[in-house]
Amino acid sequence: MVASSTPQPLLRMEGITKSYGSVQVLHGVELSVGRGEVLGLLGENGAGKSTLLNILNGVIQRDTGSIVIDGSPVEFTGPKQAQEAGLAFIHQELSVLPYLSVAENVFLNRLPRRKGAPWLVDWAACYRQAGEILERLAVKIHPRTLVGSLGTAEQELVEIAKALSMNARIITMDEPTASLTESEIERLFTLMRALKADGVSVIYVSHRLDEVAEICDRATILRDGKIVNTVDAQTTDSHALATMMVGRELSELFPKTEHERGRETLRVSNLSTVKVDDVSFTAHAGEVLGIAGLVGSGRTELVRAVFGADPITSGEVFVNGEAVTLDSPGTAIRHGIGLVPEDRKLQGAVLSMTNAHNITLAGLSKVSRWGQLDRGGEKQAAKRLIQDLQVTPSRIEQETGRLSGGNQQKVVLAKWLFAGSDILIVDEPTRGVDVGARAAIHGLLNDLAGQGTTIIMISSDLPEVMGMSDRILVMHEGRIAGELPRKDFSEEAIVMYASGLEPTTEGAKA
Amino acid sequence: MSSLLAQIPGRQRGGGAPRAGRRLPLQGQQLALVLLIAALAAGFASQAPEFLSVDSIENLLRSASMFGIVGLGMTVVIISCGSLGGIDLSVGSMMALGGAIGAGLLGTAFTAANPVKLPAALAMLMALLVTGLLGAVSGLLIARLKLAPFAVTLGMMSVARGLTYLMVAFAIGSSNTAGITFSDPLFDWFGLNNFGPIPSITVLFLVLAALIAFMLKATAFGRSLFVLGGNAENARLAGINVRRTIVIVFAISGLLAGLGGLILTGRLSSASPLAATGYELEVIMVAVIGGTSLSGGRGSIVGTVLAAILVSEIDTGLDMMNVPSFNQYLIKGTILVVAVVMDKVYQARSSRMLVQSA
Repeated sequence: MVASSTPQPLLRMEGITKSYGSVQVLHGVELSVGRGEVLGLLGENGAGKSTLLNILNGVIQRDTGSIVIDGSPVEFTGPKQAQEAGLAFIHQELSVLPYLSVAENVFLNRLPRRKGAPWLVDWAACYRQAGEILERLAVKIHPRTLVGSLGTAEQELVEIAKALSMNARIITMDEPTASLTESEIERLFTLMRALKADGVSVIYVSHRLDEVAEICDRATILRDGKIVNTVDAQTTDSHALATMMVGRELSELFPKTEHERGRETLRVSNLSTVKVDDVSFTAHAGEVLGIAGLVGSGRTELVRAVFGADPITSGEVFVNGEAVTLDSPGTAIRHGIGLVPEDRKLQGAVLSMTNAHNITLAGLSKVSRWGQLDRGGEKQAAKRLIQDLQVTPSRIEQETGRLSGGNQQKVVLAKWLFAGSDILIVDEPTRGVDVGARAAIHGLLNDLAGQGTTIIMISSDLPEVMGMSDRILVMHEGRIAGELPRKDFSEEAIVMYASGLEPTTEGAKA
Repeated sequence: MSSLLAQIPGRQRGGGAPRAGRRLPLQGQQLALVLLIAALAAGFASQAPEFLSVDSIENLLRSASMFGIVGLGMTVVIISCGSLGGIDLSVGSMMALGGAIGAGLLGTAFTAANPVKLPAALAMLMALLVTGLLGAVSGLLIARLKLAPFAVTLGMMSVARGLTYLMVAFAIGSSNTAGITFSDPLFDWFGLNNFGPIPSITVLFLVLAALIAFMLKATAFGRSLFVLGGNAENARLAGINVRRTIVIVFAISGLLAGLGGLILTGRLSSASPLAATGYELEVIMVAVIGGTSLSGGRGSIVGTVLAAILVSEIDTGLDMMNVPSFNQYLIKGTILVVAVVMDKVYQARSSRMLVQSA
């Protein structure tokens, strides 16, 4: 254990326990954060991070233990008290209101009032003050902009501005980088360093271990509701962190297996949609084709078009050499294409249905005859896939909505395995997924490629896309800006192409 | 990963039995319905002993079968389109229209100004065809133009009522709210006939309920309805033809409403343009009290059948106790709102469990 560097930390949580019914989810957790410190909070999904952070921010009540801020014990009965004590909680799923302006979001419920007429909002002051906060953050967003028109990264900055406007001293960020691209992450980190310099403390939750070394001072690792260790984030490598989180040695993070590239399975010629401009590429059996690029560069739109989910305005798609008209996802599925979408909750799995029903969803014709379902066969097939993919808990009757993110993703993958897709498109397959499930998903994609499936993988996580792919297409503003064979992979080349620049020859070879 | 096991709510509640987490609430609800039906029967009988007479029970079964048949369609609509705000407000008017067409095209109508004279079976078929088609039109507007089902079917409610007036005027040669009177053996089968002690339409209702239950549980189409009700975009990405499904579902609702209208007409031996006014309340009650979630993706036919009995029991019992109709509206409206609140409470509970397990 590394002792806190400051003699009296800004925040100290001691002996925190919490049980739901007979299940204890937190066992005497200790945690401290110094003034102006960024503390990484690491742990697999289900380790108790969310419970701990919810307790800290007054969302739920602890059973025992104490929370001390600035030397005095605090007791929160709700999130409002926690906010008043200088805590702010930025959730992974942002809570901004899209149809309100940036300033309105920042001052939600606390809009400045006119002097002498407190029932009227002082809009001038509202926009001015919001502008001042944004300026302090060096964020170039106009306070009158509608938040819905901003990208995810900018919306996150609005959340931070909101936290600062409430004079937050301790900001909890739950996976803030999950949907950000490299450059946006850099910008966030710059901002976090500025916050540090101002004496604001941050509790930072992330599944991306390389970020922890980059931004955190110390890291506290939680496993099964207990603190495993608190380490110096600068001197601990990510492999050691991962091992502490999982409690066992992890096999190599990206177990890339080389296999023979087979025949051409997909050819896209001059494809255009509203967001995609004249894109051509091919993909082959047994190949993992990576698609990199910034969020909004048209990656998701490209694969949605290939899956028949978005209308194609011009161009052609050939599957196994045959020209196909992809007018609906149903057509794409009949041609052996599967899509694991970016938004798992809204598009990937039907959360209200059981695992078995989710798994057979895209391949009902395989377990039915004349439209009548063979429910016994369905159960058997689902059971086998759940075992193969090690979905936990392994009950086929379990509602998918009650699984962790990683296990939900496994169910979505099982759906396409069941449908027997020859071309499997995965869009950010490991976003919000814990380390263990991540490795399992990577292993599965590799195995599928080994069996001759064509895998097309979109990822904003450069180590992931570089570790997994045989070839990478980099998109920029709806076009393919560059294509890299595995031997030429480098973060620099991808970033250059993604920014619309030509990589230098040295860069491409580095 | 073993820590995940400890996080699953079903296990927290000591659910040693498999399925405990998912199935219990529905079973509990159905059990509650049975108990409620029994308790109300006892209550009504203590106030009005004739409530348990053969005539009264037969009447109750006829009414339950009529609302139940239309309620089956409503159940299917809400299960599959609930996530889109799916509901069919036009069923009351569709019942009136079905009845008016069936009676108005009859050769045996007493008010025989009608120029078309068809055999009863054909007249009934025409009625079902028209209400089914109008249902499909609602579905088409909802699916193609992405309109709110509530708005489309509210419009259809008025259109169908208007068509009912036109049909009655066409049949009897003048606009007359008294409606079409007739005598016909096939309509009598719907309205008066019994198989032993059980009304023939009750048998019809149970057969249809079994068919729909089979469709929902055991066919690929039925499964796609639950998927669509869970999340429409999800259904599309799973390869389901969402538009076609919505059209079919509203056509089924229209068709079953038409059938309900024929039954009503058979029971009354007349078709009035004012028939079945406000019956959408009863039909929606049947679906919702039966446990069909207004947010879609969840519901059961067993629940709908039980709720049809319960709703008709309330109607019959209140009538027998001579409760004035305005008080009946008050009572039924309150029951519907309570049922919706219970659905919300159930959902809030399950989503809270989701949060805890996250």
